Amino acid sequence: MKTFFSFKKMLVVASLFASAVLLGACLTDTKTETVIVGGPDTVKLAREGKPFELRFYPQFGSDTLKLGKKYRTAGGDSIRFEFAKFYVSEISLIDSLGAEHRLAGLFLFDMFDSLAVARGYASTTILALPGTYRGIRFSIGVPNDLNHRDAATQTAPLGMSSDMFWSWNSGYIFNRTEGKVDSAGTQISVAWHIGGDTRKLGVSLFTLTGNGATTLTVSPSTGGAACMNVKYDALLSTGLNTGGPLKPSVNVGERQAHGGAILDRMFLNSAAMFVIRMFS
Amino acid sequence: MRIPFSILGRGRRAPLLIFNHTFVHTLVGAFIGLILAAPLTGCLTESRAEEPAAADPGYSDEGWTPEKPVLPKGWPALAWPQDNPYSSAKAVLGRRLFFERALSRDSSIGCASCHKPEEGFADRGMILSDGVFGQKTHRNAPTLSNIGFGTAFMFEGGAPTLELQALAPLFASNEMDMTQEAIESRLAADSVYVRLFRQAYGEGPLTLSGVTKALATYQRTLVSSRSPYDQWKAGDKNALSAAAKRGEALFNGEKADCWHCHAPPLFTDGKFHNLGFDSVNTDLGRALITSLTVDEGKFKTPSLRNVGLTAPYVHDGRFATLTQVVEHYNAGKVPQANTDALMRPLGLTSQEVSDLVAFLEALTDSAFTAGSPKPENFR
Repeated sequence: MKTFFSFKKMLVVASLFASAVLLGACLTDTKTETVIVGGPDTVKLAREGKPFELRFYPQFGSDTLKLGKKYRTAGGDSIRFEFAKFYVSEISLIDSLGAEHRLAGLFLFDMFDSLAVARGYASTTILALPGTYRGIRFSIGVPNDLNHRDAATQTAPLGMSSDMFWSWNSGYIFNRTEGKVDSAGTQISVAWHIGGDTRKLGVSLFTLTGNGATTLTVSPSTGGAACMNVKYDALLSTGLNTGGPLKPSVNVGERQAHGGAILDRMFLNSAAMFVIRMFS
Repeated sequence: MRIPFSILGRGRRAPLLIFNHTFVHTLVGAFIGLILAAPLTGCLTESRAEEPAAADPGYSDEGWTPEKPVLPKGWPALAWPQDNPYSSAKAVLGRRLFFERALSRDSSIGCASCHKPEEGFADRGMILSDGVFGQKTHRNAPTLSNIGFGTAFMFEGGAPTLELQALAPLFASNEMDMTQEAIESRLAADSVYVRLFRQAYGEGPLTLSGVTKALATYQRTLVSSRSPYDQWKAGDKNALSAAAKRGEALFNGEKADCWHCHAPPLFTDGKFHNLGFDSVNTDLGRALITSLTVDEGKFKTPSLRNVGLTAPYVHDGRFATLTQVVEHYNAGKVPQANTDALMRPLGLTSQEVSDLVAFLEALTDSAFTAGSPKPENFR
């Protein structure tokens, strides 16, 4: 009888222990949510957030940039654009004390998709907490932890279908601009691909206090919007050798940017591409 | 039956557990519990992996049976990624995909068009290879001999895995110029691939990730280790000619000093070097990845396995023969600051140059090049 009880006791303890181990394994297996330190408070945003629209208006000088239309560059070239996409990530609104309020999302803006062409701007709407803000910060690029994963398994806006994966470099092109330039009676292709972890561009757009200052308001009833111009003329502002503007019709080394000095130059130029159009 | 009060919480003094009968039963019970739970937790863990750990059924295709490489003594380990372990089903699928012309936009080329098995998995006679619609590649096609040992792929080393490397030619506009949708839909419309994907990955959609994993698996089987040099190393004193033996001594000695970067048995250090080809780096090479000035004009050291089959040579195919390559090293020019510190005039005689070439040609592994016959879909 004593042996029977001992056996029973062992069975009870065995089942308790097995259950605990299995439960632990199951809990581990079902924990799928990634917590990002310093990331957006997605729960609060979902509960209290209001629609907040990000608009990007492609511009060339004072003109709206249109697909296939020819523009005269500061260097005297005739250029038409065929491809203009960039990633926006790590978006934050900045309050009056300078504190950042992170918003969720990674977005690929295509200046020439059909909707953007029809409207004159590319847009997405996310959630932001109601309030009055001094400005907005975002990155042109893909966060490092997403930039080097297997693109074959990633989904939109990442993945191979984005046309932004730099396959020989195993990372994404952050800001891709392509087109054609007239050169001695022929059309030559230009392709400026800005990417690489060190070339993720931090953009901070603020309104200064004082005369003419505006604030960025997210209304508790209607939400808000940040409208930015994307100045493609600024991308061509400075060339490699002369200190003057890019002139790819003549300078062969300025026709393609994938690496080296020209890529660094285009990255610096791109810092002036994004400017405030209007905060609402 | 007594159970420790600390578990029951009855507020009574807990019995002494050391060498206590109850404690022994508790320990035994816990041990049994652990044994019972272990296989189940193992299943939970395994279910997160892509493939079951079932015994490999040993798939074959058109008479070709893949084998997980067995490496000669003294070779480094061949690392199989945790998320893409070897299976014969994936190797079979990968081989067929490697030879598949439908993986190019105009269905004109497959991987094997530029990496021909009979040419050491390179493109003999082609400075630059043919891409779709008559375009050319940017660089000379490298050999894939022992490619699975690499840790950085392509001449600038931007792809950290073979799985990611496969995306580069598939999507490059001047090579195969495909889209994910086109790859998946073309293969899904082919009943042979539907069957091979099911064998490799079970039921489920046919995915690009399945394509790259299979291609990587096949490429990791491309181990070349049976050249005359290997036979000589294994004890066959007649496997090398007298000239090749003299060349081997030069190769692995300080005079020619080839071994520093082309160390046996893989005949590559996997690192990046500027070999003083030009005074100006028209191709930035490694600097495309690192953005460092000191890396400009550096390219990954290629393996010399089967090098006798892979002419022309170096990243831009500028050398038509092995003799020209050896003569470049013999001259040892240092036209720019990035030139590798080991580049120097070697003072090799014409006989020594010839001996070195004889040795390099003894790295041709005919069993390797004949071991991957073209499948039906590539003829």
